[in-house]
Amino acid sequence: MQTFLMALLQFFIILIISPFIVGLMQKTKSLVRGSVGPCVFQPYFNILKLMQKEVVLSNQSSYISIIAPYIVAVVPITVAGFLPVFDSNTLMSFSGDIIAMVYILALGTFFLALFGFDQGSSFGGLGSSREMTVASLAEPAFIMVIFTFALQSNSTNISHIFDSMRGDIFFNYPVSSTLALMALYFVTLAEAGRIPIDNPETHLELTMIHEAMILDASGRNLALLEIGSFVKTTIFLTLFSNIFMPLGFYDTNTIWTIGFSIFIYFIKMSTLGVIIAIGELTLAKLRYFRISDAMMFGFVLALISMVTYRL
Amino acid sequence: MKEIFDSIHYFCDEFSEDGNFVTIKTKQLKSLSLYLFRDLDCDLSNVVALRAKDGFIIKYLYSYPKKDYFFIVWQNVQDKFESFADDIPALNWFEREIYDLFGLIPLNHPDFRALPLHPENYPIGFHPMQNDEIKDENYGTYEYKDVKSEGVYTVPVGPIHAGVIEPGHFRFAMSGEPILQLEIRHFWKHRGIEKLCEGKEIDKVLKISQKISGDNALSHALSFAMAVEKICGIKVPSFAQYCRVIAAELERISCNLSDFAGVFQDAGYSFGASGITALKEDIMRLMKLLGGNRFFKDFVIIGGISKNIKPYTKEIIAIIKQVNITFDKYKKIMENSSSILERLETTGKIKKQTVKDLSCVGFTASASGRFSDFRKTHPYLIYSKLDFETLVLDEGDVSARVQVKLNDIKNSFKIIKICTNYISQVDKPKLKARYEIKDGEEFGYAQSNRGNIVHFVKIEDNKVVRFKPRDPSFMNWQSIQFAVLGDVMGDFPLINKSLNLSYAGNDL
Repeated sequence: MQTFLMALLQFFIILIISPFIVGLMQKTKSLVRGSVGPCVFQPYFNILKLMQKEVVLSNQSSYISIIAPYIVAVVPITVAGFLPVFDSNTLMSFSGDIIAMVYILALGTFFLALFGFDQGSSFGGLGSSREMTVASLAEPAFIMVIFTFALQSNSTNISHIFDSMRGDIFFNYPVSSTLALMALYFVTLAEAGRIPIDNPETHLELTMIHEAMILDASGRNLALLEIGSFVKTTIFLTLFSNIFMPLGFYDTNTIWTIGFSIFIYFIKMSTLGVIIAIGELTLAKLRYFRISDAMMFGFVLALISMVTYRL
Repeated sequence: MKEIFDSIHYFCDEFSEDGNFVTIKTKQLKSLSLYLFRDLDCDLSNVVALRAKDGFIIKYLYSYPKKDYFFIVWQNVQDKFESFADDIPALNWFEREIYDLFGLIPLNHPDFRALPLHPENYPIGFHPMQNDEIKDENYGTYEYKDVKSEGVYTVPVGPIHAGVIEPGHFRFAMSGEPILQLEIRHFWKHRGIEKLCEGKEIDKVLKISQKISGDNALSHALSFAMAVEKICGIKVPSFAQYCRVIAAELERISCNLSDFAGVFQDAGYSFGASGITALKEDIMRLMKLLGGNRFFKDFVIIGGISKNIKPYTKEIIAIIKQVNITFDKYKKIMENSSSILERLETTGKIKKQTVKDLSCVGFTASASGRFSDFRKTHPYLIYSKLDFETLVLDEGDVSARVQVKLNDIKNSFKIIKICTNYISQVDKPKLKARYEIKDGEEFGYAQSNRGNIVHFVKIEDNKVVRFKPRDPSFMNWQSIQFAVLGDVMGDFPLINKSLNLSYAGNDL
């Protein structure tokens, strides 16, 4: 019972924190630019507001537009059930295969792309075709990073990987782990749609990737798609932080250790959010055809990291 | 010049010279136009149709950049005229505009579709400048030149966009990401300025002229005022001339900074964008301090200026100095950032021949190897006394255009410094000259940040009977169709921003 409660707690922490992380990134960017910017809790209000609004669908759209937002939202939420935040007992720890996790995420991307196409507007199709290109370039690098961890911990079960991470994997294999970290950073930028791959703030329809697909979404559908993208971003950051900053974990669970672990997790995520936001500010967006170069760089890093997994 | 005049005499029936304006009437219009456009390498600057006693007159204004001369070629027409848009592509839009507004038919026009008056919104046969009557209640349609082929799809963008920007319709023919063809359709905000100004008092037209393109309010007012001053023979006091130059340069800095910020923004570099926007705000506050509003509206009046800016010389010098320092910092950031330069270089190339054919003006032309700056080639106000270096680059890409603009900002800082030194030494500032309105018609011109503005003004009985402004955007818009070829869709906003054309100025 206690393990189930722990799993449920971790699951909800990921869900609850995710709009905050995105809000924090926006706030950081605004502050560095010298403007005040929206409150860090603005994404919560946005979701609440959108939930109350009616859905307007294009008359070109089919049943895909009705089901796709739910799938896009549910997929990352399901994946959140795989991820350990501070305890290896997760909702899916009985079968928490990391390869399954990668491809469940891909299912969300697939339906998001379908949703873009289904609107019948040219921007949706444009966004979908770009998103699929970026996703197919990011996937090999992601899988290579995953394989590195699987090799290092001799398991593809996320909870096992997590347990061995809490040991000394990072310090036992510093070369491989550092390279994997760099590769995962590229993957995170691509999957979360951040600069230099995609610009989440732009109003220019022609340069958008993720935003172009959801340009026609409204009301509850838009809220669901937003939740999907928030949770996805948080999943990647959680993966990042738990693998490379294995702090704040305890073998025994008391109220105090749990509270402290949650606090540490919160700090780690905020730090990562701020780092990514500042990284975005120092770069311009890449040309569309240069994205493959960046992703190739990520892939090569991941490949070297896998080959040298004992270093 | 004598040789040129001799060659022109060979074509012409009537020839008159007035200052740097040469007026020519000829029957061999085509050969003379081609001689001016091709052999002398003149730019087409404005085309004006106006009502005459019987029929209409069409005037073509060519500017000769090598010497400070303008050629006005004119002809009488009844209801149709010969089109030579095939040979002088810059005439294409002018001739279509004349048909829409006056109903004069350009014979053998290569692309005879409606331009300013959309056939969906204006009844067939309605030509507002000819007469007001609506003969027909039927509406037409507009045919796009879409590319139809397997694997080519059309992406229509606008006229409503996702951001707060002016309306414009862009139709891309795409094959994957690369752009095969771009067709633009503008004129969604036709306000009928030419019709509105007919028979209005001069002061009212001066006010209207400032609304042609919001950010270039002062430059438009300046070209209108200078046309009127030329007609009435007004000598503007030199103090007022220096103040006008300061105002014009401040406007130029503010527009160029805004472009610079826009390029950062559209390249996805928001840190630089907000920094530069803050600088622009400093300049606009200075403009408010000097002129009473943020766009220098009503600063220029006929015969001089409306406000004395002498008491604020200290503020001008202090703010310009501080803006200059911060500007250099951001310029360095741009020059040292590979990720920004990588976006700008080789993007949106415009060939020199395209610039020549379309008579593009301003930085668009200067960045493609064809120098265009009326401050140097046709100096007005006191620009001939000022010493500044203009930049001509051959690359023709976004990066070249940005560099020309950055150089322009530097020039403006320098010019303002010289002019403030001068006005601070004047003891008794004289703001405006006394004048009487006379009848006549003249061209007035000024260099805005986008290029030269040329206004045609005709006054009869103290009223403006014909006002034909020509904004630089009207000359430059077509170049974007060539700039995007071969580039990818995602780079279009950046190219568009680097050209930064006005939708309102284009559509009168």
